[in-house]
Amino acid sequence: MKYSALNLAWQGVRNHRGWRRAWRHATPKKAYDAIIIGGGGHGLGAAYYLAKKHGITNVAVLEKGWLGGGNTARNTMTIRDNFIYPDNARFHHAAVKSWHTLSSELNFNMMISKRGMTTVLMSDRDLSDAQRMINTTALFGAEHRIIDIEELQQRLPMAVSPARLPIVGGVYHPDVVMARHDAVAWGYARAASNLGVDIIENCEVTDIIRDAKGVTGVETSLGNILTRKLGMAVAGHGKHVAAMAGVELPIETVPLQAMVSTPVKPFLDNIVVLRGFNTYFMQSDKGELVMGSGTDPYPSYSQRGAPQIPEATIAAILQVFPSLERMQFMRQWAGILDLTYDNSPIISKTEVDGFYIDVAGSGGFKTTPLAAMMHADLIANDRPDPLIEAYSLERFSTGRLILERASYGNR
Amino acid sequence: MVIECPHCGERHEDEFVYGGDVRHARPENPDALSDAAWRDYIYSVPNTKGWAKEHWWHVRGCNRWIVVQRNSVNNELRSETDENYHG
Repeated sequence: MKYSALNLAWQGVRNHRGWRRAWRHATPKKAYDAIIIGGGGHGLGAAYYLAKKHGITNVAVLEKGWLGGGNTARNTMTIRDNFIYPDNARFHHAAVKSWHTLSSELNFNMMISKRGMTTVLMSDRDLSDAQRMINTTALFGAEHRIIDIEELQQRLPMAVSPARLPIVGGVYHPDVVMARHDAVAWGYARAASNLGVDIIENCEVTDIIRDAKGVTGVETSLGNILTRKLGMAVAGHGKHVAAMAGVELPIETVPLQAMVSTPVKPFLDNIVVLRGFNTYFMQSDKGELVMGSGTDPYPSYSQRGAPQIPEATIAAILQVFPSLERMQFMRQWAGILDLTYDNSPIISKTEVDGFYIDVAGSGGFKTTPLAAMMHADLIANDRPDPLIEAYSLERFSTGRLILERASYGNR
Repeated sequence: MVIECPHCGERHEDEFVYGGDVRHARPENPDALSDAAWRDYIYSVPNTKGWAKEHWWHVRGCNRWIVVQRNSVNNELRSETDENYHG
């Protein structure tokens, strides 16, 4: 069923009794040409592109819980393009662009909202770092510019005067967009299901079965399912799922916290980044302030996070925006990030034939469509696209790391 | 999280720095190690889900390294016996 204004009017006339399920309820078959573990944006996207671009429609997505209930539900919806190192800059620039046509391609409203991002700089060092970032990212097409204090005050009218804080200026990054996170999972699920992909929820993978030639299937809570091509798009537990196939991943699992206030009238269009405070915040379309912190100082699987982290985030925001003092919290949570040592993702083949991984996105919401497309391409053709060659698992043996600073887990 | 330091008593986690899983020890003879084993030592940590013994550095307290048992699922802590403490 196509979603359109005409259909909406027609269903309205029929009292909205004609809407159908967005995706089929599927029970697992005996075997599939390909199986994806993980029903978040990355996994559902990979299944969709396998069917759409590579004609492999006998595909299943296995999800332990419900669709988009992991980090797809726990991110702060920000899609930015300020990565410095060439491999990352190239990939993230293409990733931001891959969102632009997603709504029309999937016939599902991603609620893309072009906000722009304003970074507040508070020292000469911030300024020279920002200039370096602007110069390097410009080589790959990203647009940023330094703005002076006057323009900064215009963009963030509620920020304190530079007389109180050593604010030296800012960076404006116009290409930053926000997207509705649930829509990404639901849109991909619906489109993939329409192409014949089986989406199987409440199905936990408990083991990966192999023979001498590679992967032969998975053991799940709903029985064994055979496949020769297995993709993994798991967040938070990537190391444990890969270990089932005998693959050791260089991953540490760390909480990344965010929080949301009660909704207020619109006062802020930009996404604000406070450099040096590991803090950013924006106002959602519903009017809530969405605030994000840096990673917790020790690894954990607790989806709450350490309490001193949001405390520091709020303190930082109140220094620059004292007028927000009486805002009230609605909720706070942590997403469980799989972090690699270089804070860059792994989208790669593994030493086990037929086992492919797309993990450790380090805030991988922003790369969802492109990473999913590349993962599908990797599964279909058994070789990495030049765009993701640098994200191989081998880089940890060869030493060709991408020590990115624009990711969350700066270490 | 309130961590019990054997020298100082119960202190807030802000006084401590996480020092990694005790099982992630430097190999005895690095020269004899294969590239893959060296990679695993540098980049792979046990990343245990559940109880693990960990090094913590009481940097804003007595400045000693201690061993703490922590459950990484809910950050619950358990006291260690004295002989397992370092320093």
